[in-house]
Amino acid sequence: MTRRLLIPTLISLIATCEIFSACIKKTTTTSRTDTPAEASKPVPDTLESLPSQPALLSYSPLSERSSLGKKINDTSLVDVFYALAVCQCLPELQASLVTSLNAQRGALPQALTPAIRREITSNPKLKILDIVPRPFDDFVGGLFVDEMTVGEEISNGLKDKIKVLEPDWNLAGDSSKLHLDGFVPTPGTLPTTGGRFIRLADLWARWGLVLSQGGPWSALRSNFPQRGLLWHELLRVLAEGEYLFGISGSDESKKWGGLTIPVDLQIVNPGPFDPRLPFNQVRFLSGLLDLKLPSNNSLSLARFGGESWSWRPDSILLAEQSLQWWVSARLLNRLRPVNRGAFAKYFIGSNAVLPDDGYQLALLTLPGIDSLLGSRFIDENTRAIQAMLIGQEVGGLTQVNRTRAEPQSLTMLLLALSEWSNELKNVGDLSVSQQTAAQLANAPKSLIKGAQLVVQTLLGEYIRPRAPSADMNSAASGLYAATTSSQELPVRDQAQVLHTLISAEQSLMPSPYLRARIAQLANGLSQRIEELALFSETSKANLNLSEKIWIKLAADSFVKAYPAALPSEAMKKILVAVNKFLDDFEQGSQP
Amino acid sequence: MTTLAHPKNSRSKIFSAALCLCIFPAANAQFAAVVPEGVLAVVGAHRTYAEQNNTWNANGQRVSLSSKSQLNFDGEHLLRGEGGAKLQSLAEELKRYDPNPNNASSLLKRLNLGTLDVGGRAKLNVQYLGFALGLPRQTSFYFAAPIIDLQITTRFTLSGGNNATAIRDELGGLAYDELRDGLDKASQLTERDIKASIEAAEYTGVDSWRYRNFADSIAGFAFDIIPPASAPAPADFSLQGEAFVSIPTGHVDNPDILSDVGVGTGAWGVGVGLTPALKTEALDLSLEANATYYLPSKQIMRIPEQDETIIPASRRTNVTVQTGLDWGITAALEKKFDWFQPQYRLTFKRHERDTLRGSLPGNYSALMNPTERSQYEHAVWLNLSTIELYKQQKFPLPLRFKLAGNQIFKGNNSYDDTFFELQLVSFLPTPWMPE
Repeated sequence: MTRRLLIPTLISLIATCEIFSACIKKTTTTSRTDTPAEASKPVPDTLESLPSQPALLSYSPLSERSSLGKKINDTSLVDVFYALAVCQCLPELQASLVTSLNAQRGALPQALTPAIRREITSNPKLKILDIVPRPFDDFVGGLFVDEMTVGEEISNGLKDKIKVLEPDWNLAGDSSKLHLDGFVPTPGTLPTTGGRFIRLADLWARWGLVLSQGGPWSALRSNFPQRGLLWHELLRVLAEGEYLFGISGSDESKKWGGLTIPVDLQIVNPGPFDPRLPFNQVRFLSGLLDLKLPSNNSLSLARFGGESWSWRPDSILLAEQSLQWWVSARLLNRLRPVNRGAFAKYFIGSNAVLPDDGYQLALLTLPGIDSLLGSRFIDENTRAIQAMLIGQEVGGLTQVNRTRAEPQSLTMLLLALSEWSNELKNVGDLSVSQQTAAQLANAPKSLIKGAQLVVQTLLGEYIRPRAPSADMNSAASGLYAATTSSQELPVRDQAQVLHTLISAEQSLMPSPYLRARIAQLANGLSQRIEELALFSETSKANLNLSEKIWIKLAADSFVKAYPAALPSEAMKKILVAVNKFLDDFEQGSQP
Repeated sequence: MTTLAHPKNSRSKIFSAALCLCIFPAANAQFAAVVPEGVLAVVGAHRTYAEQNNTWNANGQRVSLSSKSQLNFDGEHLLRGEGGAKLQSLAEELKRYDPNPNNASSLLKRLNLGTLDVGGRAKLNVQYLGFALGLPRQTSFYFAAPIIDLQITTRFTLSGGNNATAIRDELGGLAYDELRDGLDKASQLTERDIKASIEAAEYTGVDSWRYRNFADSIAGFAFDIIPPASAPAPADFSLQGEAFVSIPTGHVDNPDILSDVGVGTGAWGVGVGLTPALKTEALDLSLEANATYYLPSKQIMRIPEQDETIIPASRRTNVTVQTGLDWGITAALEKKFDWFQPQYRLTFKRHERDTLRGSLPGNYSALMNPTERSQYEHAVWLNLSTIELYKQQKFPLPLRFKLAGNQIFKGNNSYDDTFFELQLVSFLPTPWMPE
């Protein structure tokens, strides 16, 4: 990724990202005095752990996930969402998880959602408030609208939008879920400190789910009773994206939000992403942000904002960034013109509900990839890939406590780079300047180079023979991926490594050498699964969903990619077994 | 005694190993017998060495010289920088693909760009000039300075299989563009590329090197401890002693010249010699023994990290050298006729291991080990002398003409010390000659 490539890209984005039109049709007045904070108090959260990606999330186990409608024993739901999103399998499960998210209230009151704020501030009936001096305008505004009515109007506006997309959708029972507050936490989690905050890893995992088969493009959508809610979640994703980056058209006075932090971390106050700034002032998203709201009503909140965000200073994790990069590539994939298919009519023309250039939101991630990966996560001298950036390291000022990226983070990075490379192979459908399009088209070269480094690092530092005396050149020998302390990774991670390598080999870097290693890794994985009797009856009770999904991914991709390879038969057997496990789970026969 | 200077860092230089001819002796310790008081013996000689085809290795086995001068361009050696910085980078890059690059199946271990045979030609001619002046009480002072004309021409031949293309294809899309390009270029590796990479390591004299100057010189005293009988006797025992200084006037191996050879030790030496002799009417028997101790000296060298041949210039450092003791012993058997004295000589020579010390960490042993040498030689001298004829006033000048052939028949870390020599000694009166 070159800087020359990205700057024009970003400049071209200044006038873009007109995330979908506002939903509010009208507002009315009530005398209710509930504050927005009380009205949209988020469901409490408990930070959860993701054992296989310790660097990504180090949180305590969660206890209550009833809102999911499925009992998922995995320690981390983020991990499950990510696995499902990558797999694009189990569409019923995905769709049910996506719609369960509608029941959750986000940290950001919907009055602060840019699209809604635009509607409120441009509403002719409320223009009179502009000539009323503060603080009397709040009082005058109260004569026109009340909180409940605002909420109803927003729901009605959303319903009207979704009706365009799904005319036959039966709203009954779902209308209470139509709200556009942003930053929904992972379901069933409880806050440790109270207050409002967002954890971006949660956000990216949920986006991934919505943008995969769980979204409105699910093959099951037409028969899915809650299909309108699938669109609702997509609209929420777009609204969140607009707020996260703080971009909402060319009118400076109509820009809201902005939760990005600069890569040099000299100032860690969240702010908007401004592509016009020099490249060394690239901003990115990371970690956990706290929100404080002024105590006033929705109308005042929409007109004047006043929300205050603070970033909790912490390490910048490669795993989290990779997750974001992968999700943004998926966003581009879903929204770009060439992939719209039957939905194209909803992006342009009289039925336009979705922003035609909404895919450009994804392109805002590219400067972050370049800036963070190019000279910060990757040591320019040693080409070592770091697991995290600490403090001023992000600015490249000091290099302390550097930790090499573990295989799990590397595979997440590899998947993100592969996804972006594939997305940018053809950019003819993107509405960007000719120069930008040409530069975007050159980006895969740099991305593939990054992917080659990741694979080289994986192979050279983390792949080991299961039998130390085995001939590494023998196709029959089994390999495993190791931790940084040379321990064998859990099966879930072995499968993730295997699938990711297969994916890279097939789409980016066809290589006999890599194929040989992949076959040996498949050997090692099948040996390990057999040793652990992973598909025995006793293991069903402790189904680890993400583990099984990754095994399915690894086995499925191996059999498809290398049907004649030696371990293909073993992989086929594993695939049959894991599919049965997952089918049972999806159908609800599992506990 | 024959002083064998030897390039200290011969391991560091492929051509030294290939072409290090036995270095011309600084002088013969037994340069001249004690000459009569007031007589000046003037010596001029020409020595031609044989071309070097064989050598003796550290185990005393006679091997072809080319086997010592082969450079394997496999991954392991390239990783040490023996193919230059670019090929070293290539090897380092391949190493990164395997958790255990020492495994036989690793890309690094499998990489092989062939074998570089380093051959060449050396022309060596030596002249030495010297004199010995007879002093009172059966002593003499002598001085000798060899002048060397050494011309080395090198030849590179790259042979064997090159699997860089196969490795490139095996890596396929996994290899970076730079690595693919590197493997492409490696697959077309030529002798010229190798020379360029050697020159990039700041070596000069890759193709040839010529030296026309002094080797180490020698100056000393010879004295009779038990002088020979003044009158003919059936059996006459004599004992001659010598004390001498070796003067470091010769070229010391330059770490930046690839094909040069050290023809001097770079150190001052002090030595002694002892020659007991028994003369009978039929034969003369003698035993010539000598030893030279060298003072410590400072030299600049490139220190290898392991046993690489091409060493980066960054590893150049100042080294304290303690040159090992030189010693030797020769048994000589001579038959005397009036004007013709054939002589057979059997010699054992040894140079103890040098000791090197420097501040830069590295494998100094790789430089020191080859300096421990020994040689077994034999020679035939044919002396034609007019001294008796001069005494009988049948010849106007007292002259001695020597035709010698020397051959090495066994050695350790030794080169082919085979040569032919023509020597002319004239004995001239001086004003100090007694009546």
